Amino acid sequence: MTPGGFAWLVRHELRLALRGTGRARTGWRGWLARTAPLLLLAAVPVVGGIGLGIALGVAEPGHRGLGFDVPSGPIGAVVIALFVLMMSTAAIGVLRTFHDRGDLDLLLAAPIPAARVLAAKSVGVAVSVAAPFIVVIAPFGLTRAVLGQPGWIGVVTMVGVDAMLATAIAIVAVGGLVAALGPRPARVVVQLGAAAIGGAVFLATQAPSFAPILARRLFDVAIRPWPTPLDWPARAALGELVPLAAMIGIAVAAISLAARRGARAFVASGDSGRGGAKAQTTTVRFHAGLTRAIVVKELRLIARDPELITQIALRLIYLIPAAALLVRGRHDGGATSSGPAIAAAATAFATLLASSFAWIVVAAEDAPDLLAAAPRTAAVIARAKLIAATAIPLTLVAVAAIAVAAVDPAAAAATLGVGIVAAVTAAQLQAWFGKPAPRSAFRRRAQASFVIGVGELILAAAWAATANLLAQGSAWAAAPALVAAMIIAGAAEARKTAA
Amino acid sequence: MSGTSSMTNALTITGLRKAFATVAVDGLDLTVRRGELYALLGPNGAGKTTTLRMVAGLLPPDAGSIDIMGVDAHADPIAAKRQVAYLPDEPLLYDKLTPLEYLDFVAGLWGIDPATAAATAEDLLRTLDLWDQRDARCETFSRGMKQKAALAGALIHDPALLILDEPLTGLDAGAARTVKDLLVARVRGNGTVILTTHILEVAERLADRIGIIRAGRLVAEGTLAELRAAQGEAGASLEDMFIALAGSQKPAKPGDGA
Repeated sequence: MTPGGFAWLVRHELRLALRGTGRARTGWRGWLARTAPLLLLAAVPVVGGIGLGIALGVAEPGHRGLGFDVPSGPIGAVVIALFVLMMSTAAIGVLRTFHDRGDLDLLLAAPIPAARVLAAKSVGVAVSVAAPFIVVIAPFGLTRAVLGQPGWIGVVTMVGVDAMLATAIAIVAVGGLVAALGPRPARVVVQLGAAAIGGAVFLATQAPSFAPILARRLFDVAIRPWPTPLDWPARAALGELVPLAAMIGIAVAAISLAARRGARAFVASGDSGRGGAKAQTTTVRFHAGLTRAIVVKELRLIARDPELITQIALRLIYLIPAAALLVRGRHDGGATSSGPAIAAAATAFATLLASSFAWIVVAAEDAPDLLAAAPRTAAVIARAKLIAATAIPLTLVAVAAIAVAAVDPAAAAATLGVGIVAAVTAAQLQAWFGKPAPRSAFRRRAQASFVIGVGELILAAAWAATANLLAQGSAWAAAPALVAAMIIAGAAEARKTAA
Repeated sequence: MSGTSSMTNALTITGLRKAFATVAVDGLDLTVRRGELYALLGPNGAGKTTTLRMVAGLLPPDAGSIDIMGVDAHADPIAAKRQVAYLPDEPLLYDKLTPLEYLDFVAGLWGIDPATAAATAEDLLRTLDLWDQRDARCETFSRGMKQKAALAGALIHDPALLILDEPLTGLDAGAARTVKDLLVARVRGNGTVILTTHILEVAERLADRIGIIRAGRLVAEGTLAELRAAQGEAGASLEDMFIALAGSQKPAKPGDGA
């Protein structure tokens, strides 16, 4: 590989994408810690996909395409849904690679054409966008292609086509946003937009469970035959050569054009990847009190970190179908009030939210030495941090309790009582065991402490069940409450032992 | 320690010891008088930063005692910390806060009256030429501006003992002059400053006394004239003496560990 060449630059991008932004240990242990989870994650779909592909045997002459008859409508809908989903990851990837990482000054200062640098970065983004889907689809698809169903090559190829198109559009869109709004607002818009897309796609996949009528209508629209050339993506995915070649051509042209135009605009704008921001005049009022100082500081930092907010919002979005199912289940069972279901949902939300915020304010503290140097005891600071971590979750609990109070006072009381305990215990658990890390490691915090991640989920489930049963007036509420209490007691004991 | 020394000394370190994989500070004895600017010099890994972190209450010593303004830092760490401000070479800042918000936070940590804190914050930001950037987030600042914002944070509670680890790192000539003037003014106002620096000219021109440590021990201490006399070289520069005493060809670099 020629240093400075296109392939060399792509390898550089992929290496950075693979390593992420977290703190990595060095040496073979570091390599193992970084690589083993990825290999394990990849091994399941690879081995499973190849195994399943082989198990289906050599295709019979009548089933040479994908092996089953399916109209182009649903296939097209899947291809477009995948493209939309990829748009969210591509936008984030472009933002990080082109406007955040800050290695562009180094690369563009090197005696390498800017267009080559940005083309390599574009390919790097496209590959990282496609990789999770390729890992899942390619082992099975390519195995089936070898065993007589070449149509599957179309499916695998269309994943790459989707990723290239999504990246091309993301380069243009994100570049336009940065030029129009400035780096910081553009970052907020992109991150919130990406989260909204991701959340919407997830909710759409869950729609048959909690909104069956709407899902049925959407499905009816999707299965209708699409006019040419709108049906090209579907026909390409089904392995038809001409549409497949056309889609590949369009994707390659789009990403080349986006990278070239992006390179020109990028170099002309002088965006070094870390763009400054216009200062807005704000009034800062000085107030007394340590707790207030810490709460205000933490809330300011959280509010100014859109990536963090979107990640937290996504975690909550993933709970919406379960909450909706809970409410629907009660109505289907003849219950008149949704109060207990709302109590459970609000409690689960509050538990996970408090845990997330506790990690942010305790483990991801930017200046621990400043706090350690302050003339305050560690216990006083820890208490203030706990208040900061639970401020928003407890507000959410209060809102849920007020909302349900008029129709179901018992559920309101359960929401408030259990919700408060749940939020505080979840925050305490995280504060005890959260390992120091930068805020950017929020998504990977569960990897840093698997036990705490699992403990947090069990705690959320236990407190949610307690709230639900208590709202129904069931004495069985004591059982999940006992489970939660045992988790906290065990954690306290483990902490004491560790200390 | 005696009552008289606690009246005259800002900092008294006795038999201080700290070991990690190797011994970083090895029975260090050091005294800094009230109202003086003391420069602590030493080669990389001599134990300067470890010593300062122990004085700031960030590291517990393995042995020895630290007395700050007559307060035993081990017996009453909170009272001791109230007297101290510590500014490491990497500024203790929050990128997403503005300088004013940062100062509001630090003032809250040290329990400063809000009206006093607001007035001091404005005064400090104006002195350090950051007032026009008071509403910009620190993430947009240059290294020098961050260093100045962190210095403002260190001064917001008017500490009796100001500890600075490489305070001039990353500052341009104008900003460095501002900071040096500010330190001199504090010392004239009977404040006490301890700093480490790799710029020996700064120590030579600003410091009332200079201490040189090597391998965690104080190997020389005194005014520039006293150091020269002890070395028996009347015209020697601080650099010559540093190299002779610290046993290093190069003075410490910014951000050196230990």
